[in-house]
Amino acid sequence: MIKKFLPLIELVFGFLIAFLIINSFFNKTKQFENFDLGSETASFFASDDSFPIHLSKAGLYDFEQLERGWEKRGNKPVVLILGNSQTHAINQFKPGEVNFPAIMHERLKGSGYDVLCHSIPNGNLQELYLLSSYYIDSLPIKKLILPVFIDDLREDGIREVYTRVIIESHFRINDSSSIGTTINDQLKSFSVPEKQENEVVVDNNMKALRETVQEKSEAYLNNKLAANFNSWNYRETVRGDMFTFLYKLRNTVLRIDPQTKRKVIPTLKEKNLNALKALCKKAASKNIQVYVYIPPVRYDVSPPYFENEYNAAISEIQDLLKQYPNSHFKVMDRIIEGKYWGSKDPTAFFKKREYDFMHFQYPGHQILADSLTSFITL
Amino acid sequence: MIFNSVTFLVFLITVVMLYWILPRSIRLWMLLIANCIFYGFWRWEFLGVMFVSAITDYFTALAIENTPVSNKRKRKGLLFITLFVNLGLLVYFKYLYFFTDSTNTLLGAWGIEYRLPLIEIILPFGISFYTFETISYTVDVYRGLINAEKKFLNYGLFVTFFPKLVAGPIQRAAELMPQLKERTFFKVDYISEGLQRIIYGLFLKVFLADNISPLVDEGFAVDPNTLTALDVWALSFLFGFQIYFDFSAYSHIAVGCAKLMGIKIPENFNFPYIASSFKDFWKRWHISLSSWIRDYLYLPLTGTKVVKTTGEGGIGEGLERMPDQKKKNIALFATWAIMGLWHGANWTFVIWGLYHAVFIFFERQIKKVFSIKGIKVSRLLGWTVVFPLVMLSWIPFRAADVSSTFIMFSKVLQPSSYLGYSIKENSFVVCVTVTFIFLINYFIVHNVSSIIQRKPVLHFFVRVATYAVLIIVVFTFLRPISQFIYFQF
Repeated sequence: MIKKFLPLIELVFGFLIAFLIINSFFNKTKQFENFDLGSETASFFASDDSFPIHLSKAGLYDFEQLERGWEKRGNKPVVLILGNSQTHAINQFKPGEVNFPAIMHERLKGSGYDVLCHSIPNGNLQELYLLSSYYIDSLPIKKLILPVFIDDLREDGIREVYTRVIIESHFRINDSSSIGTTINDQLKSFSVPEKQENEVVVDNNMKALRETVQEKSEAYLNNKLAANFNSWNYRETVRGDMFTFLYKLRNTVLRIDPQTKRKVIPTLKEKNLNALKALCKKAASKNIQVYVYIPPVRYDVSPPYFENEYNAAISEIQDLLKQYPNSHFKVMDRIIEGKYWGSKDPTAFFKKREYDFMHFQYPGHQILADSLTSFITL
Repeated sequence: MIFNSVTFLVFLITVVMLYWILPRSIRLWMLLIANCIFYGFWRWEFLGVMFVSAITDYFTALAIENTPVSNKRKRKGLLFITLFVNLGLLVYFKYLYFFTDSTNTLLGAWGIEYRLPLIEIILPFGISFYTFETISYTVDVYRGLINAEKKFLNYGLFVTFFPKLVAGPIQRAAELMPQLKERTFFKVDYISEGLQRIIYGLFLKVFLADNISPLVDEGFAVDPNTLTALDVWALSFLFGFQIYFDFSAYSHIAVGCAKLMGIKIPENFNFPYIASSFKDFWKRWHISLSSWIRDYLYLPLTGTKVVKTTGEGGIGEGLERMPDQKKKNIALFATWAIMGLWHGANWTFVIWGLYHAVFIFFERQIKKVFSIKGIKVSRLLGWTVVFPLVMLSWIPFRAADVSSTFIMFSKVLQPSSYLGYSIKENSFVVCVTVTFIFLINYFIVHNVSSIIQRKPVLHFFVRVATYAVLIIVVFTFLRPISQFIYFQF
C-alpha cells in the first residue's frame, strides 16, 4: 500500500521541506548593487538644501527633485559629473566625510556653476552616453566630466535598474548610428506600460507576455501573491543570493581575485568607444566641453590589467578624443597614493581580505576633486 | 498561455481538478473549453485559424472514409483540399513574407526594379504543430490506417489538447484520440508522475535555459567578423544547451500535464547530445517531429508504402532495408531542407537542415566502406566526433542571416582564429560547466540511479531532497521573462 503511494509521499515531503525553507529564509532584502563595495566602503550621495545633487539608481521623481534644487539655486550652467561606483563610494567611510562630486559642488558654488552628478556601479560608456544625452536635453550643461575606466570597457549593454529615469520618461537617444540604434532597441525592450486604473503593475519580469491577454492576469496574480505571501516579495533577493554564491564559487574554483588580470575584450571596447565618440559628437553639437580622465587606480600593488593593453587603450582613447575639439583629456591614474586605498570583503570562499582597486578613502576624494577642478578650469 | 507563469499553474490546477471531479460527459466539453482558454490567453482571434484547420480536416476525413476506395480521384481530391487548406494557412502566416522577400531579392539580382509589396503577418502560436497533426490525421484516414472520427468533440480535443498545442510533441490521432475517448479512472500515479515531470521541466526552463539566454543573446549580437573560433564554439555550445533545455522543458511539462489527466503523449527527447552519429541524434532529438517527417514526407518521397504510423522512433527507424540508394539520397536532402524550413522562414534554417543531411549522407558512405572492411566504430569515438559537430550545427539556427552563418563557420576553419577571444570569459566558464553537468547527469541517470534504487531509504531521501531543491529553485526563478524558443516555429 505504502509502496503505491511512495512517489506521492516523496513529492509531498519535497514540497513541505521546500515550503519550510522558503518560509524561513525568504525574508530579507539586500542592495546587490553594493555587493562589490564590501562592508568597509559606503556609498554617499550628496544633497544641497535637501535637494539631491548626486543620483544613482534614480527614477523620474528623483530627477525632478534634482531639477527643482538646481532651479532654487538659480538655474546656473551645469557641470555634470558622470561615473561609476568610484565616484560615489568612500572606503573606510567616517561620518562627516564626503566624496569628490560633493566637494566640487561646494567649491564651484561661487564660480557661477552648479555641479551635479550621476554615477552607476560598473557603468559602461553606453550607459553613460545614454545618461549624458538625457541630461543634455534636460539641463543647460556646459561642462561634462567623464571618467573612462579600463575595467568598464569590458561591460556591455544598458541595465534597466540604473536607467529608471530614462525608462519612466520614455526617453530615446536622437542618434541613428549603430550605437544609438542598439541603445534605443534595448530601451524599447524595457518599456513599462502605464500603470492601469486597477493598480495592476506589469514589470519586466513578464517580458514574454507583453501585449497578450495573459499579461493582466499574470500581473494580477503576482500582485495578489505579493500582498498575501511575503516570501514572494523576496524572490529577487534570493535570486541575487544564488548568483552571488555562483560568482564566489567561480572565483574560488578558478582562483579569481581583484588582482587577476582582466583582458581587454576588443568587441566590447569598440562598442564602448563608439559610445564615447557619439557622446563627444552630441556634446559638440550643443557646445559642451567634455573632460575625459583616466581615473585613479591603486598602483602600489600589481594592478588587475595587462600593462601593454592598459597603455594601448589609453592611447586609443587619447587619439579618439583628438577628433573632437570640444574634448579634453587627462590621465589621473597615479594621483592617489596606496595609503589612501583600502581593502574589501572577499569575493571568493575561504579568503580573508582583498585589495580594493576601485574605491579610495576620503583624502583620495579630496585629491581627485583638486585635480578635476584644475582640469576643468584650465 | 505560457507554461512558466503563475496564470498557467492556476489554470492547470483548476482544469485537472475539474477533469477528475466532473462526470465524463461534461469532462470532455470542459476540456475543449479549457483548451480554447489556454490558446486564447495569447491571442483569442487566432483561435479561428486553428478551427479552420480542424474543421476542414474533420469533414474531409469523413468524406474520404465515405468514398469508396475505388473512387481514387475523389479521394485524392479530398486529400488535396486538406493539404491545400493546411499548407495554405502555413504558407500565408509563416512563409509569405519570406517568399516575397526572396522573390524581391531575385528580381533585384536580375536587374528588375519592380518589387512585390512586403506584408508583415503575426505568426499564430503553434500553427506548425497543429497543421501537421491535422494533416497526419486526414492522411492516415486516406491510407486506411485509422477510421475517421464521427464526433467533432473527440476530434476537436485531439487538435486542441492544450499540453501539446503550442510546441508539441506532435501527436498522432491514433495515439491520442482513443485515450481521450476511453473511460479513465483516477490513479495516484498520474499525479505524482505528472508533477515530477512538470517540476523538472520548469527547472530546466526557468533556471537553466533562461539564465543561459543572456549570454547567447549577447554573443550573437556581436559583429560576426570580430568573433574568434573559440567564441563561435562557445556560442554554438551555449545555444545548443539553451535550446535543448528550453525545448525539452516544454516537452517535460507537456508530458506531465497530460499525465495529470491520465493521458500519455510521446516523449520528444532522449539525451540527444549523447548521440554517436547524426542518425542517432535524430532518434533522440524532437522525436515526434522526425517521426512525423519519416511517415509523411521521407517514406512517401522514397516510394515506400507506410503501413503503420507512430510518433515514436525518430527518423532513422526502419529505413535500413530500403533498396533504391539514389531515391533515398534525394529524399534525404529534400526532407532535411523542408525540415529546416519548417523551423523558420529563413534560409539559415535550410542551411541547418542541409548541414545535417550532408553528415547523414557522409555517415552512410563511411558505414558502407567500414562494413566491407569489417571495421566497427565505438560509441565513444562516434560521440567524440558527432557531439561538437551537432553543436556547431546550431550556428545557422541562431545566426541573424546567411552571411553571418558563413562568417562564423569560416572562423572555425581558420587556425589563426583560435588565438584569442572576443566575448566575456563567463561564456566559456558557463559553456564548460553546463557541458560537464550534462554529462554527469547522463552518467547518474544511467549508472548511479539504479544503484540508489536498490537502497529504499537512501532512494527516498535522495528523491525528497531533489524535489525540495527543484521546487525552491522554480519558486525563486519562475517568471515569464521569455517564451519557449519553439513557440516561434
